[in-house]
Amino acid sequence: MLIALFTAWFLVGGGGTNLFSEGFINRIDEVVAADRAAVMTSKIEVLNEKIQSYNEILLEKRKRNPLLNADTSSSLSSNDDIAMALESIDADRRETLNIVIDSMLEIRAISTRQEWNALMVPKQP
Amino acid sequence: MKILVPWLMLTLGLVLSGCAHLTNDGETNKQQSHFDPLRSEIGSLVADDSRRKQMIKSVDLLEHYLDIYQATTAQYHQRLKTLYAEYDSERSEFGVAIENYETQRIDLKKALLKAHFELKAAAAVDEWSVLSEAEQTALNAFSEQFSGLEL
Repeated sequence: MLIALFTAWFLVGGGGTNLFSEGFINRIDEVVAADRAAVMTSKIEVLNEKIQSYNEILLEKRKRNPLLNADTSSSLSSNDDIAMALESIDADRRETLNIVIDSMLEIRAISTRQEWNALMVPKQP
Repeated sequence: MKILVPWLMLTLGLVLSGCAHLTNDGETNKQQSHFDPLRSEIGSLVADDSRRKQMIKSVDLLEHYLDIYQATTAQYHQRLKTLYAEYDSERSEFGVAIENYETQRIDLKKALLKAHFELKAAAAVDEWSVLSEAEQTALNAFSEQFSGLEL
C-alpha cells in the first residue's frame, strides 16, 4: 500500500492526463495562430500518449512484481525490501518526468509570449 | 537558499501543527482522522500499557509524515504549475524543483517506512493480523484523498 501511495500521484487520476486542462486545450484554437495551434495540439496528444504508456508500464510492473503488489500485512518482511522495490520504480518515474517537462517546454515554445499568457489566464465568463 | 526557506517553513509549520495533536502519553486528540479506527483497534487489542502507547505513537508519526508528504507534494505541483505558466522560466528551474522534491520525498519515504515497521515490530503476530488490515484501510482512505492532487 505504501508503494501505491508513492506512485499514485503520477498515475492516471493522480495528475498524469491532467497536465493540460480541457479549457486550456479548447482555448488553443482561439488564441494561437492556426498553423501553430495544430502543432501544439498534436504535441499535447503525443505527450498524453507518452504519459498513458508510462502509467500502463508502471501498473504492469506493480502487478508482475509480487513484492510491489504486496500489502503491508504479510509478504513484506523488511524495510529494505520495500525501499528496494520503490527505488526500482523511482528511476523510471524520474526519467519519464524529465521527458514530460521537456515536452511541456516544447509545447510552450510553440506559442508567443502573448499567446501563452492568454492561454494561462482564461477569460472570465 | 530560496528553495530551502519555503521548505523549512512548511516543515516547521507541519511539525508544529502535527505535534499539536500529540499528547505527553502518545495518545491523540485529533478529530476525524483516517487513522482513528487503527488507534481504536490498538486500544482494544493491546493490553500492555507501554506497548500500546508505543504503537499509538507510531500511528501518530505515520499520519504526521503522510500529512507532510501530502503538503509537500501539493506545494511541488504548485511550483511546477507556476514555472510552467511563466513564459521565461528555464529548464534548469524545473530540474531544481524536481531534485528538491525528490530529496524530500526520499526522506519522507524513509520516515514513513520506519514508523510502519516500528508499529509492526511492537505488535504480536495475532495482533498484527488485525492491525495490518486497519492500517491498510487507513492508508487506502488517505490514498483516495491524495489522488485528488493534480500536477
